[in-house]
Amino acid sequence: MKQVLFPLNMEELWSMWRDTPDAGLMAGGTDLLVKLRNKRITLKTIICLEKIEELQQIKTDGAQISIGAMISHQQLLDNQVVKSRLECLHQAVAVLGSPPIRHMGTIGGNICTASPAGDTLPPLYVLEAELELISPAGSRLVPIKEFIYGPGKTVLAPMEIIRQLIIELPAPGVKTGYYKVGQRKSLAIAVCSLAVYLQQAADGSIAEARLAWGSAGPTVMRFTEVEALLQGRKISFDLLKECGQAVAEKVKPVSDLRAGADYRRQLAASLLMRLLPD
Amino acid sequence: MLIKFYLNGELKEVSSDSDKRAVDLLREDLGLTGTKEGCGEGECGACSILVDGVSKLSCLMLAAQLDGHTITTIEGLADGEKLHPVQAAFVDRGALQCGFCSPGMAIASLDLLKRNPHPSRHEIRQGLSGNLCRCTGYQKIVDAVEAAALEMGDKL
Amino acid sequence: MQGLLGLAALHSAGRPVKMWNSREQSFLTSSKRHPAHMHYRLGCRQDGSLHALSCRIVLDTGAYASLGGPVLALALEHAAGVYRIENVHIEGFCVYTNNPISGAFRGFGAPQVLAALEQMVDMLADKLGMDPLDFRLKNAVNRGDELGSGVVMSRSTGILACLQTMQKHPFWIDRKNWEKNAPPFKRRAVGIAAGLQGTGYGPKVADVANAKLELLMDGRFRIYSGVADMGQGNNPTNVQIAGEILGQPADAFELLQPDTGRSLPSGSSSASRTTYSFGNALQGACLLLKDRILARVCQMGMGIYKEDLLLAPGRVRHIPSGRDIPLTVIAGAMSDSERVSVNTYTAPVARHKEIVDPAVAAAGFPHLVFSFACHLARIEIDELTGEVTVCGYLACTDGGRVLNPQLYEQQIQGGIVQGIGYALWEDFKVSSGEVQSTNLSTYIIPGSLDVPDIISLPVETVEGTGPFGMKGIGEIGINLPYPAIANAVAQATGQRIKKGPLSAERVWQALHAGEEQ
Repeated sequence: MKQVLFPLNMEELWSMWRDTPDAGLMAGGTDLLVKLRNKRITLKTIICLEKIEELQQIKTDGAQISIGAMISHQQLLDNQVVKSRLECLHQAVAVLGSPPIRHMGTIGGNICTASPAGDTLPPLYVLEAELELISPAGSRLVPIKEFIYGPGKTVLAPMEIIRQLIIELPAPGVKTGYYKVGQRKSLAIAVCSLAVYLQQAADGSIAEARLAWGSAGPTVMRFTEVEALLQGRKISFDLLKECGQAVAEKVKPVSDLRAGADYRRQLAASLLMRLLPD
Repeated sequence: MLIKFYLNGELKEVSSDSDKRAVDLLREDLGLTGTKEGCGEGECGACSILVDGVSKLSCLMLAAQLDGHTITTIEGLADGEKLHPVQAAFVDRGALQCGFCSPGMAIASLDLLKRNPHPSRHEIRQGLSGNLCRCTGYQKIVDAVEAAALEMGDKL
Repeated sequence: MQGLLGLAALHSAGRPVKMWNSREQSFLTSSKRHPAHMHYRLGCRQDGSLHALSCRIVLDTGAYASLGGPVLALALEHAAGVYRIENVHIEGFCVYTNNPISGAFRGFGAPQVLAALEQMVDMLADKLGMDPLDFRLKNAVNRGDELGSGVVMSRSTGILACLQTMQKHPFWIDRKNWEKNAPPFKRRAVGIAAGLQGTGYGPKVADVANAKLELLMDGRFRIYSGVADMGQGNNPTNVQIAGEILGQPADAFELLQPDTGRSLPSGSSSASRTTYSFGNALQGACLLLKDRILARVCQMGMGIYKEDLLLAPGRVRHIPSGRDIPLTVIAGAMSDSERVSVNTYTAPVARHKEIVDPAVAAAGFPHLVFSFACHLARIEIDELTGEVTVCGYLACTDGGRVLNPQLYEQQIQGGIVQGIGYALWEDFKVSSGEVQSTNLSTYIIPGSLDVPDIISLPVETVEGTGPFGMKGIGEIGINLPYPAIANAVAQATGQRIKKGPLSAERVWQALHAGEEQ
């Protein structure tokens, strides 16, 4: 018989994990239990993190927000700071899965699944979220783009988890957004997605641009050259077209059942047009 | 392990393999077959239940996760023979055909109406967007939720 | 399936057995709508009258025939749509492949051929510079006309009325205005399509239903339904039919679900026949039992005539005397066999022209009774992604008389949403005989946010052969979303996408076709 363990705090987690080093960790379960059902993985022990209070805090001090790994997508959707200051993340969780999936799935889980299609990831890349990883040995801070290095691949060491995300709140006036193409309007895995972070100077030119694409390569992708193209210029059709051409050459999408690589490449470029004012 | 939880208002103590799925505990061990399994992967919403008033997918929960919580399944909606206003509205508006998605749809409706007692038709469609239906085309389900919202006002 | 269950039951120590496929098993093993390869040529005269049709239809039935033959026959019968066409050559093949099995699916071959034909009709109207609705109005059949497929319209034929109803609807009248008001990076278009669906099995397999009705000792009635209600609502319609004839309220009936031990065989819930065929049988059983009840009352006293009797809720009233005789009393006076009426109904069949290939005739060609419809889809294409949103949808349907408006709408709405799925997303992917789309995350069916509210306008005719004038409408809804949406997509993109579904990816390619040259 398999066992399911529910540590109540970090101390219990470490001790249970020490006793069952091959245990699988479960956050919201929306990916893990599908993998178990399809026998893509087998586990003798599951350690369920849902009772650890420490992982379920959202704190904000005006300059930054820290989000516990076990915060659900719905909690993000309901959070006023996320809604008003982290629009791209708010828009992403609004189109992630479906209502019950959002009630169950967690931000830490979405990050650790490390799918290039994970909806929270492109926003976290443009927000340059930092992850606080914690293990019995202590904690360390890792930027999200260094945390994930391939599909399903993260730098988590044995006996290490994400404790929380730390995100610097964008300055007032910074515009962020998330644009997703899925096969339908809910319950959809991103065919291609784009998160943006734009800071404009007083003259309307772009002071800083951050762009991150989902489902356009093995991990979420940002391109400094493309972001540099926008620097100091004003958003226009022609500028976005130019950026799009550069992006189309850089993304590395795959063909699968949902879409062809070429279409994804073109989407990566054309989604930039969403930045044009209405 | 011994799992203790409130199920449709009654305290239950069930001995179960802790890695059994919640949907199997409900259907197989407790005989509550109103909760359906449509896909086993979180794609269809047929297995939705309320956990502490929030809709969740019982096919993606372990039985052990029910421990200590308050669970409502479709069987817990009616008051004896008296249907819950959401159920009554489904019947009245013809919001079902084969019925397989209906328990999940009713659970999703309750979750929605609790968050938003006066939803627009679009908000209702959003609230039901985790529940697939192959028969109705959704329109009559939206009609029913609209009617139930009107009927219940802020009573939920 | 029944055989496997039977074997399982032998080992279940008397407990009931059931078979439960996982979603993946269901995807792998259940029969699917036939993939169709269709080649169409359609011609008309200068004045817009259709003159010639030549088409070749190849259905992929997989490794087993299943119902491939009958599906093909229905496809051929519907291949010329609702039009009079003088010169017609329709040929079809149902081919074995190493792909998964195809079989009966809502529409039974009609959705495929109408998807092709109705796009041809739009293309031809466009070539001619004629309004696509006028073009259809000019060529659609009236009662007494002959379809291009050779079937004579000898029963209620409401397609012209459907088209006229659409012509008067704001969605049609205001279409140019609506299209013009597209937001930035969106293109809007309005597409239409017309079609039909035969009711019943056709002439070769006798379409028989056996209704059984019993007056119970407590004065209520029991209907022994012979056709399964899978949710489409034929059971309540049965109660309506019986209640109307017997003058009883709904709660005076007990409805027995089909049960091989108690009810009589009445065929399948399919082929848009369920209410039509069983309803007819039930109508006869009701009339028979009513007659017996009144006859029994006449024998209870001197000088009572049937003409003076009224069957009313729970009683028979003798109008001249104002006296009521409770049904419980009458039931007590009747013998067991007298309280039960049984009626067999065999659906009438059509005659066909001698030119029809006997093999096609053997597979169930032609039908006698048809339902008709025309649909209109308002769509918006996202130029940046190719995504198609159906913003509005109108269906004008001739399903004869509407017996139960709510159940009628259920069938129309549900059929249309399945049809929108067929048009835009549903893609059962197979590679070298192996199923690729094995679950609901890869076989995309529409969710609640993906479809609009549907406007359903019944265009009632009275079908003389149907119970209370109705015809079957279980399937017609699914037949036209594909061509209506495809016609709109073609208008918006200037391109015909010849392979379904009209996925965002394909629409995107259509939007950018010719850019690379």
